[in-house]
Amino acid sequence: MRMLTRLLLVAILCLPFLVVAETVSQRGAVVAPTCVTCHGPEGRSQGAIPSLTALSSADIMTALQAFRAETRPSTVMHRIAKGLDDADITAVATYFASLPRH
Amino acid sequence: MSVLTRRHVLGLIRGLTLACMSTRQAWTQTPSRVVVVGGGFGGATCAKYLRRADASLDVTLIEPHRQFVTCPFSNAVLVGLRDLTSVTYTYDGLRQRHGIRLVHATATALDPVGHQITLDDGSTLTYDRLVLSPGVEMQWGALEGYDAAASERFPHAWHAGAQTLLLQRQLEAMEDGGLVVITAPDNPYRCPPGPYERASLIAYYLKTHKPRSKLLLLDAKDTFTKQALFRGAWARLYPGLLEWVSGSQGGRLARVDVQAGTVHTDFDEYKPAVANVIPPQRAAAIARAAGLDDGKGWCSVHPRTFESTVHTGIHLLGDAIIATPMPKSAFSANNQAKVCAAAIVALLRGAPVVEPVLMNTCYSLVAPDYGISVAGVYRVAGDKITAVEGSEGTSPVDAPSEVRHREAEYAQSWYANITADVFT
Repeated sequence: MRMLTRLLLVAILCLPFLVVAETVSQRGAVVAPTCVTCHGPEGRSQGAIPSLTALSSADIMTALQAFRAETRPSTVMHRIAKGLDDADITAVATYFASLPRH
Repeated sequence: MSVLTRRHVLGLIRGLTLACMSTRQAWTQTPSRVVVVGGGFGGATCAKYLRRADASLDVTLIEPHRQFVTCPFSNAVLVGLRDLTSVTYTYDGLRQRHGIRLVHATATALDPVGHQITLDDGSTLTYDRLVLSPGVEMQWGALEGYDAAASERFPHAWHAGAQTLLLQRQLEAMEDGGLVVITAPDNPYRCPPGPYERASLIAYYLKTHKPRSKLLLLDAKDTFTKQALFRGAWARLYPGLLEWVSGSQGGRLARVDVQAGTVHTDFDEYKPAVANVIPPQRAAAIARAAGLDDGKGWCSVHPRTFESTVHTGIHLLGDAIIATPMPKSAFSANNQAKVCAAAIVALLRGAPVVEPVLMNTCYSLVAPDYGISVAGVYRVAGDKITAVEGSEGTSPVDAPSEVRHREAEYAQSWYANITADVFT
């Protein structure tokens, strides 16, 4: 009985974090499909555009933040990255890093 | 002492489980039917992403053709840099890998109240949600003397396929020293930079194979997308070969006469060896059925869901809609399709629609190793699409040749990746 109450309490306390996690993955599912148009299905690119498959979430976040700040050279990514806010950047980084590696 | 008893907790868990099961049951008993009209970058993408988001959906794609020939990179086909098969796709991947039912027919009528769509074979389909992404049709007769028959003499090549090959053959057959005329229409039309990329690549072809020839680009407009980039490149790469005539300087067409083989502006008459007439366009017929268009030939939508502003339950995508500031591009159509698919899945479940991010990137080739781009990221504010500050813009005008070369490579890579995204 007490055990169950305790479990439920833990679940209730965790709820805000679960909601946040859900939002990040939902946001990722919204933003990531815009990336694959250039970077290929699941981030696996054919040709000169870089693949995203080998990158960690930290790699992707660092790159996008640097593109946005124009401290990393690019042709088009500095324009695209300016359209993304911090939540979008975190979400896409998490999304691509969570895909199975091939 | 405790407020929660074991019975409460168990009851809550049981209740939640039952609620989940009954929703699940409702879904499995009557799968929602979504009918998508048009198997291009908008419709094919939407069908695929609907099934990816919810494999229980019954998705039918209506497309008259068994193969899809892309307009992107058809300008490369025109001048022999690619062959037509390299820009041609089947629907096998959508059918086999994604469980989409293909119906090769043309949608001819729709009943927005009865949720039914009629096909040219006489059959009707009932839908819970309808997606129309039929693209554009040429507005025959809007330009005096230019109709479907005239396009066999002066091809538009604005639907890729037979028209592309016709214009390709005419360019090949032309003798060195001939005059090529391209005419560009007023906005809006499919692929804003298309006429200028085409002029660039034809100029490249002429410079390489028929250097005494001349290319005249007669434009209804005074300004166009990536103008500074195109004009800068033309001055460097094709001086004396490619001449652009703006609308106010006499570029606007008055009429064409295919019998006489002439193209007329208000002031001049030209008798080109090859004429490529890109005529005014409008949303294809099915997108203008049941009062879906704005009376000017295009449709408007609520951009969070891409649902029609006229009829509920009907969504519209791609070149048939006005989604300003998003251009009528393959990228836009592909991107809108994903937003629309996610919204439809949410609406069918009674779940909230998430805030979309909309995007566009368009590459144009000025020469095989010389690429330029325009890009933009968009959000929805109120019921309007607005560009995020700083995200909209073109490649720099003064970029070094390595950047032009890299953007040409990116253009090729983008094409391989977007077509994989849509058709595999």
